[in-house]
Amino acid sequence: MSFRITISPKDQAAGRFVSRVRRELQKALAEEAQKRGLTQSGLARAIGVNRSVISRELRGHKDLSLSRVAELAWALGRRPVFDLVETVTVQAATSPEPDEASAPKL
Amino acid sequence: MSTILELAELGSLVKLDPALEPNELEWRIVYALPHLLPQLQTELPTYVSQWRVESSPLQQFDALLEVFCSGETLTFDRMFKPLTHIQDGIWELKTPDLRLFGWFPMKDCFVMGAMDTAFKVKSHNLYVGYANMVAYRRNQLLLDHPKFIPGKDPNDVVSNYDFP
Repeated sequence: MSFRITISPKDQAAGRFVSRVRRELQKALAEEAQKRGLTQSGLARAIGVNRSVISRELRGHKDLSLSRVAELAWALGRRPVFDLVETVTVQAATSPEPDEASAPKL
Repeated sequence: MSTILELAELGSLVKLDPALEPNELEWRIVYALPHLLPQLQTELPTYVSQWRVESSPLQQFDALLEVFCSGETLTFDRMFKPLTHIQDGIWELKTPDLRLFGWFPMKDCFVMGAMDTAFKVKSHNLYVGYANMVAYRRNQLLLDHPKFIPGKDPNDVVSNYDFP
């Protein structure tokens, strides 16, 4: 028995995208912390805001605007790349073959 | 006594379907105790974000399930860790607005025993209370021993826990 929460595809796509953007920023900060010792305070100084703002934005307690994403990317020495990739629908391998009655008439 | 799979067949545990993308594989698994299903089905969609952020608790839950089950790195910094040990093998998985309490009967397999809003858990300091309640439910479950992985090290309970 399995259970799937009820969420609209629209809300699911939006929630997962927001989560992905935030995680990419967290990952970049971790990489820059290893490379050059960058901290949240350093990041905040670079873009001219209080450290608590950066902390709340990266923890998901405050929304990230598109321009803030670009500012953070800049301060992290990164360039954000935005791409809209066409959705691919995968047919399950175990799908039954359509029977004669339901098959399209050629 | 039964295995996790046998308990799932009996309906004593319910596997949560993370609805992964076509290019994602399920590396980690989440089960829930059946009493949580009405909460997931009817209450979770009504929760509002205490932070008033654009992602609702329902969206946060869905995104957490996707990240957890697809086996992605769980944490990149101690400031952003979504998995914390409470006590006695009870762990907390979290989003900005939700707290999920459960245990790991085996690595990469989380059994959720309780869920609440972060606001309520923090404002009433319910961490230990929920940990005790979930530990009690774990003991009641006819699960093979050892019922959970002991210890506080997240690397013992999940693979790919943190950023190398």
